[in-house]
Amino acid sequence: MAQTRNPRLIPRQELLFQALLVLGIALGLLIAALPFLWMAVSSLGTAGMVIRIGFTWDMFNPLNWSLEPYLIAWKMAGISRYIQTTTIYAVAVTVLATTTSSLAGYVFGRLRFPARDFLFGLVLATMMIPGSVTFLPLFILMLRLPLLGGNDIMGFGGHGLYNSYAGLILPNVVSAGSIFLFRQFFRTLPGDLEDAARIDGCSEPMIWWRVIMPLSGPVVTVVALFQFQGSWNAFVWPLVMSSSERLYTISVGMYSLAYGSGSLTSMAELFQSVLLAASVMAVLPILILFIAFQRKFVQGIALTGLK
Amino acid sequence: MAVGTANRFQEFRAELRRSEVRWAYALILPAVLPLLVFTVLPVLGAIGLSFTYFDAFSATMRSAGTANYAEAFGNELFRITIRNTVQFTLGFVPLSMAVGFTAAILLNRRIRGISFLRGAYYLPVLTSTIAMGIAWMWLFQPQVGLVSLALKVIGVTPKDWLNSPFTAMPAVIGVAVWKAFGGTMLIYLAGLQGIPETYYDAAKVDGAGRWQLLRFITFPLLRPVTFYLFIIGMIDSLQVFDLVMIMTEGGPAFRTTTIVHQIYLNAFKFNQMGYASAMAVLLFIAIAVLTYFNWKFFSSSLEY
Repeated sequence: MAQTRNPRLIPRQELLFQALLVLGIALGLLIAALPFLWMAVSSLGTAGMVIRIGFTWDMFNPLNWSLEPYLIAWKMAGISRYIQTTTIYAVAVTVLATTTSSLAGYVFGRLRFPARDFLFGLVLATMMIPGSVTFLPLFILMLRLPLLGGNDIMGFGGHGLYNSYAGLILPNVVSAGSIFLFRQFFRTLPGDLEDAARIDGCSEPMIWWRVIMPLSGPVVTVVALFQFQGSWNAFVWPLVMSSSERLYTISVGMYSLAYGSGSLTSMAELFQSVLLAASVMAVLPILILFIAFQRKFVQGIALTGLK
Repeated sequence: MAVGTANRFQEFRAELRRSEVRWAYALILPAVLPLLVFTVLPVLGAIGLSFTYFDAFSATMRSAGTANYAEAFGNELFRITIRNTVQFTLGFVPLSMAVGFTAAILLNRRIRGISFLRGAYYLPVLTSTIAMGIAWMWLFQPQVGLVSLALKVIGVTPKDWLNSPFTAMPAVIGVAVWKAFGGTMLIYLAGLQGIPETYYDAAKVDGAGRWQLLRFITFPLLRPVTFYLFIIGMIDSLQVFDLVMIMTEGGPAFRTTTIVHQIYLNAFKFNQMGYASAMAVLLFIAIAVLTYFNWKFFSSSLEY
């Protein structure tokens, strides 16, 4: 078709369409990226400059940039501690949830046993129960777990797993969505390999570890990335589960910083920049992961239809 | 001799089977047990608690009958909360779908740098709501924020966007759309790529224009995707929390408070665990109904 048309004669309408297209794409890029750029530039402001003047072209001059807000955020506003807590939390959740979910995905996808379909149906059913419904009773459950954190056998007297890493991590040790994803993937693998391993006397966990997992690199990466991203950004659960700053994740820490923690109000001039510097530091690890694994993230969405 | 070998072979197979079943239960335990304890049990707990007056810290519990539900339906603040949630949904769902669809149409082509562009559009979805909420609060800053400065150019008087009753909710909706449209876009993109090119070629041969291709091929074929996004968007809208907490704290004067925000406040600030549980149960019912429609639609229209 292209050959029959005179290439020099692009119809005016076509030209207009192309121009609108480029304009639209550029506008979308601007909308998506501007808050990040604005945040980054504002976070580099020196004392007073950002909050008093707002937008000036001087802000884009690297000579005017200062890392002071970052130093204050890191040292005085406790961001270093929040980042440390968040890292422990996110890594633990990622490792545990990826392991338990892939094991269960293997069992549901490859093994035959009584009540399999019922149990898998149960797992799928839990996918529709969101954290915003369960966080309150879950909080009470963790507070009143028997024999832990000073509680007696009836769950009274102490504070259970409230305000502890165990309390933060335990409810997230498995993800129904990840089980589903693993199961779907494992079902596509050929059965000969594991049969051969089984005849050779390999036990099921060994087959999972030696045969299945080495073939599943891509799906493991996708699940691990989303687990990490989700727990890095988690807010509701860490908010209700932690009472001391020691256990604040980055989101909870920044929330408490934005609303009322007193230590920074004396530096009101710098406060906005410090908050924005903290935001940059909260976003940066995810940004780096995304740049490194962009295709995996996009694949993951297409694979699951989950957001 | 031959019979003995066959027997031993069968025994071996039966033993393999038994060990497979034993391992199966053992290996799903670390996944199924936490799901039961940390997801199913709390739902039952919420239902139970919603019929009580409960104080988690002193652990005192009194029966309340249906008083918590009566409280919810008679409560002015709960009505406001529902109204806010409906407003949010009416703004967020169509906008995030329309913007996501437009972005998908724009980026559904093979040009250089396309994966960079898709990535850039998608990035807001992955980032922390709290962090980006703080960035947007700065953009909405009344005097020197970028929103005020941009609107000043077209003659709109700057105001305290997040603290005035008429602009707080639209601002929250706008940020929520900004945060979500990349996800909608990717799902629409996957849908667009599932439409065979031959359909478009055939229509072009028949002389269909761009708009007609969109109207008579793309829209109808993407209907299942649209329905899915519509339901998921509503489920998400019912649960808005992080964004409201950081940007407005439900204010001004409860203008942007949402169901989950009310659950949080009643449970952890006012120590009304029973009433908060009743709201959680109502939220659960609403989500269950939406999920049912989703499931019903897809089990009837798609073959898996």
